Amino acid sequence: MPINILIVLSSFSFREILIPVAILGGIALVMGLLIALISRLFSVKTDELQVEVMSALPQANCGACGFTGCEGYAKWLASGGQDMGKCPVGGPSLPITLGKILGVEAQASQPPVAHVMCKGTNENTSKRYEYTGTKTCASAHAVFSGPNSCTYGCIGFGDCVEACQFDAIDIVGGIAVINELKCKSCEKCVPACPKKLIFMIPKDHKTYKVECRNHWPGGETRKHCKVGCIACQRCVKVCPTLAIHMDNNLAVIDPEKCINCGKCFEVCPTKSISTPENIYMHL
Amino acid sequence: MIHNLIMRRGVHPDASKNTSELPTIRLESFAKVQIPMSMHIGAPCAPCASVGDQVSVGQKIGDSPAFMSAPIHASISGKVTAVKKVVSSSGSSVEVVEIESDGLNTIHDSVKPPVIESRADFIKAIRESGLVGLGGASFPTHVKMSPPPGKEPDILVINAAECEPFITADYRHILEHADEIIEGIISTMNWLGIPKTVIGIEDNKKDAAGLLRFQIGKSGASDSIRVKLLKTIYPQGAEKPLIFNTTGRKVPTGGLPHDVHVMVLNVATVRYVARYLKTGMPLVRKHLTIDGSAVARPCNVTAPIGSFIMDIVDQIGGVKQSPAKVIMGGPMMGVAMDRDNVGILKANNAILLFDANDAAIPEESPCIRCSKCIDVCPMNLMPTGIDAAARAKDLEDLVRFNTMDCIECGCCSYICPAKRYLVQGIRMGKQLLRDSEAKKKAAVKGEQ
Repeated sequence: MPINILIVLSSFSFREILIPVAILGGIALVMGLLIALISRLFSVKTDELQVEVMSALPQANCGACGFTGCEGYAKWLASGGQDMGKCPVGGPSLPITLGKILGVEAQASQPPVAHVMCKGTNENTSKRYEYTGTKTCASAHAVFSGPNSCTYGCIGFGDCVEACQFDAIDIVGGIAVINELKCKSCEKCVPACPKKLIFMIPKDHKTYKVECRNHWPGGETRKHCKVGCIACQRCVKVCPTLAIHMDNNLAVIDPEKCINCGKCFEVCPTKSISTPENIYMHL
Repeated sequence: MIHNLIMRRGVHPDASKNTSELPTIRLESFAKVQIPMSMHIGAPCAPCASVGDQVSVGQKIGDSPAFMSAPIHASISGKVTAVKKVVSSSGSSVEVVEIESDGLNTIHDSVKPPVIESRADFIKAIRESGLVGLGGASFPTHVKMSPPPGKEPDILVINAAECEPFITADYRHILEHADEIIEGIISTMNWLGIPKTVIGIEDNKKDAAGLLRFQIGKSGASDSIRVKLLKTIYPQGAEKPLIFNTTGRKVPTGGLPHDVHVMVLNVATVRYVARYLKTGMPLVRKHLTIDGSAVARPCNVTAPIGSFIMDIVDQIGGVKQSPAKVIMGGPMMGVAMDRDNVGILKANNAILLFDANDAAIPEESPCIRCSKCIDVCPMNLMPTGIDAAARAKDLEDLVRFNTMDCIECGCCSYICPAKRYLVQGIRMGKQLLRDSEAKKKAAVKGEQ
């Protein structure tokens, strides 16, 4: 130790050092006791069960369950909520995991996937006018229903891409395409589409589907899109299980009745019907 | 005093009133017209003519039982060839009646001067004439003339400001029909019991103001009708700033002029009032300015409602080059069309055709926080804040910034050095607010 410090130290008496130490130490002790006391008195009782449920949930806070984030759903489950299948994002085995924690029997869920019902890519449709405004579907939709020749079809500015937290949607060839492997069924994209083109379809029981939403008569549709449903009703006639009906110039396939025979796909003259496979896989 | 300054905010776009010295050309022969069943704010009309019917000028072809609506009349005589739906400018579909001309323009038997003995008769006659606000908003005139009890107007404001660039239709209207305008004002005042009238006109149209003053003197109504010269600034003709600048009254947020006991009518509207009372011919023709860099011979015309834009342009000398943009209305507030085969509407006062050079829209760039949009906003709003809130779908901020007060005059987009698409953003914000309001109402209904 350098000599000058020793000199400084020796100029204080031991008592002069002890008094401030005692004062500060005393304050710290009282404060510490107060903190301990207050934390005891005002402690929030945490539900062990809720913490455990919370840790099993995906922590995405997307709100697909209908609660305010994962915390809200965990609280509901821990306080006696019965439905364990409300979180599609957690995957099919989540209800089983939750069931184990809560001591209830639960079955694996079958979450649906989102699907864009439009095939109107840039090759299949044309532009009615040049749109120069803000590049969002909602804005474009408010200007003469969007620049596409088909006013029912996908605009392709990607409002759904923006809405998707899981990076499952891409704009390919001017229309939105959903990657079913990435889709977590949170349904956030469904209300984001101003054209109401996104539908939730079963993931495991995939059927043939009419990928079109236009309600024009056939002749009008032909003018605007190469692959639109022209309401010829050939699919309706050929379907062996009567699974197809017409809804205002649009053929609609009932997935409950469809047996995946593929006859409608073969007869469809405009190929607006597509196979059960995800077209994303071919891109 | 501060309000006075605020309400005089605006911009000074190049006036480009190229057609102000050209007399109005009357166009008669059109092979075909397409008349939409909704040219007004309110309930759309149901067509009461079917395919194959022979109709004549002035015959009613669409009406609605709703109060907030105005009937539609055939503008040419001939055969109805189609009743179909087309996409309207807002993206929804609207029914149209197509009439193929027989070249005769025979006038229907129902066209005769109305017999008016009371205030109710007058309002009924105005409804039958199919008159809507011709300044551009197309608010049914008879609705404006029947305010709720306790809100009867004590002053009539005539909007002759015509602040949008290019448009000279109202100016020509004043020069050519000043006598009928004053007649219309006097009968409106008489039947509705309004003691006073102020005609608001921009000070770049002093000759028109002088002519109006002369006609007022001639009619002996100089005590009750006054012409007020207003500063030339866009948007001087917007309803709320105009009311403030002519009467000093301030319309409350979300309110209508009758909340401050004012009625505003466009100068062309009162002229048609006088004409209908004299001849009984409903609103079937419209004065409009045809201008823009793609038009060979810009001019003012009067054409049957529903006549196609390109037919009108062809009749006055065609286009210099193929137009890249067709705008219905003025360059500030008009709507760009998605096709050029649309029929003109009741409230159209201009058709502008621009070449590719003038039509080009600059790319948007990020906001530089210069606050120029806030300086020019005639409604004293914060356009950049509303735009940001609309893009972020922040409903709370949209309410806080009084989004619904925006009159969509376009001053902010015009002045923005970063070329932000502010008005479009604000319109989206308004739509978001309307949607959330509708959702709330539906939820309340569901609970009951």
